[in-house]
Amino acid sequence: MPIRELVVTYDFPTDLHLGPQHPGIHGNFAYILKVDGEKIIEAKIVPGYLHRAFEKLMERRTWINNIALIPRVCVPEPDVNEYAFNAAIERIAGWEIPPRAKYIRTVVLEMARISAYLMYLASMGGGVGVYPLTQWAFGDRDYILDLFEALTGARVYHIYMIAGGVRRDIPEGWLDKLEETLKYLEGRLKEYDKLVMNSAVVQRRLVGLAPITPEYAMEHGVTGPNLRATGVPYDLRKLDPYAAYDELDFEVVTEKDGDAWARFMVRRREIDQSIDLLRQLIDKLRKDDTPHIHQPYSGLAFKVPQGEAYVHIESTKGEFGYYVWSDGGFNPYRVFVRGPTTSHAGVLMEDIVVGQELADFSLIDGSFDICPPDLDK
Amino acid sequence: MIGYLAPLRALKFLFIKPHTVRVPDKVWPRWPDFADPREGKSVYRGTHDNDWTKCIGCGNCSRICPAMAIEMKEVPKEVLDEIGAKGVNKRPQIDYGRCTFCALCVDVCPSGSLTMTDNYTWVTTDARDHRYFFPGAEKWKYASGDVHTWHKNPQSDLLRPKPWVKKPPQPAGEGK
Repeated sequence: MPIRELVVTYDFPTDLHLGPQHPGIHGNFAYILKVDGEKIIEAKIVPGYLHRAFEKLMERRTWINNIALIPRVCVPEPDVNEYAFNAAIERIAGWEIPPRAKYIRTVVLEMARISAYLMYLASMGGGVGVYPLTQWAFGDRDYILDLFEALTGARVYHIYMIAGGVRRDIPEGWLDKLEETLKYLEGRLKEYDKLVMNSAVVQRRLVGLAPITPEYAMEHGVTGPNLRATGVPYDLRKLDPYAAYDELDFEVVTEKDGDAWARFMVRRREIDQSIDLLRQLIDKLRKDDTPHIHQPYSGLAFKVPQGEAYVHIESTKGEFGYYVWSDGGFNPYRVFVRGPTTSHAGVLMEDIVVGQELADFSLIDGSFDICPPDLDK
Repeated sequence: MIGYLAPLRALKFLFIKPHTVRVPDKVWPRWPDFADPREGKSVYRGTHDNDWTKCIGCGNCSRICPAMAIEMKEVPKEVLDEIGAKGVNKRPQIDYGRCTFCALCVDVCPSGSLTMTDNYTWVTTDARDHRYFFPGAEKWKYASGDVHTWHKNPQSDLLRPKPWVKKPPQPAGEGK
């Protein structure tokens, strides 16, 4: 008897609950898929597992207390939240911060980019089945976390930026360590390329998978590396420079095809870009002798004058925005967080996975770098 | 070079030393079964320590705590008199179920008594030790590491304003 006849087939679609406890789903997030055999015919997202009402909690905490809360809005790259929130305070209050604070903040942001991208590579390695990439990328990410620990005192939630600058200056000898780590990373990335970028297995899985066109991407609010993978040079670091990016020299990384491979390659190339930017920043920091903070306030709590500000910055997931409204008191009157995952997972995923194979689902999910906390916030 | 055999290059790493760190033999004084995985970096924000002789019981730490984890708890006057402590007879007690290890409490400590140590792990068999961690008290001495990594520092002191005034650019031709 042919083996095909032994397989029971159903002629009606099956509901498949994928996540939140599933290794292929990135974070506490779930999908309900309607599958016909191996084909996905419908997808529904199930958010809310991480809902902690951040925006409401921020209204009840003082400006300075909020810096311990906001990093939790994006777990793999917490520093974008710290930056956007504090930059909004500075914009409302009209403070000008010293160049050194800007440089240190940019260093932290770029290091966070590398660490988040390594995590992305790791998750993609798991999805494709190249497990050495997963282990290497997580191992090398730890060297970045070591640097964070020596600079900020913590490995994941740094709570390092504060209104007016950063909490501490760079410790002695830290820049040398950063240089060493960058050199080490460069050597390792060459190994990654040999392992993954040149592997026909990986290319056959990723090339042509879930492609999106620039028009489709812009219509669905796609930002960040996912948009750049379609060929649109949209990078807020270049278009609306914040921190010290206007003093740095870099080109926006783009790819043409808009498929999973292009999204993968944009991120891989942006690690190189971040290493280059960090080298430029090291030179600038060595020459600079301004203080690390402009702190006109004192003590336990301070008031921010009445006003509102929207700060949007480029994160590894996409465009992150903080809209902060102050009524002149000790607490923010209202904070609104614009997370990139709202459009990537909330809008895009339900549409793009229809007609795809079930085995590719976690790869598509991973290739968009879905990060649920900022959807649930 | 693109090929199906490219991933096999990873095999050479079988002969390279691993970069994971072995658990050192340094053990906890009170709980010898649990090894300390590693030492923290020079500014690491680990478990708290409080020098009761320096502490004045002002309560700044409890006021700034974003997680509302710190409660000022009364200590018998005799205990403080014995060690020659000054100020109010209250000392901070921390709920480690809530603490976020942000170290804002350390940065607003006027006397510099509250510090954070390089302790990565802290193991106890009594759940109440986490809920009512009382840094500085005799019972919790084992949880306070020897190295005070994040401590009061003129750089990070939040109580002292540090305004920065931008210097006007020097006009060309002046100064010499």
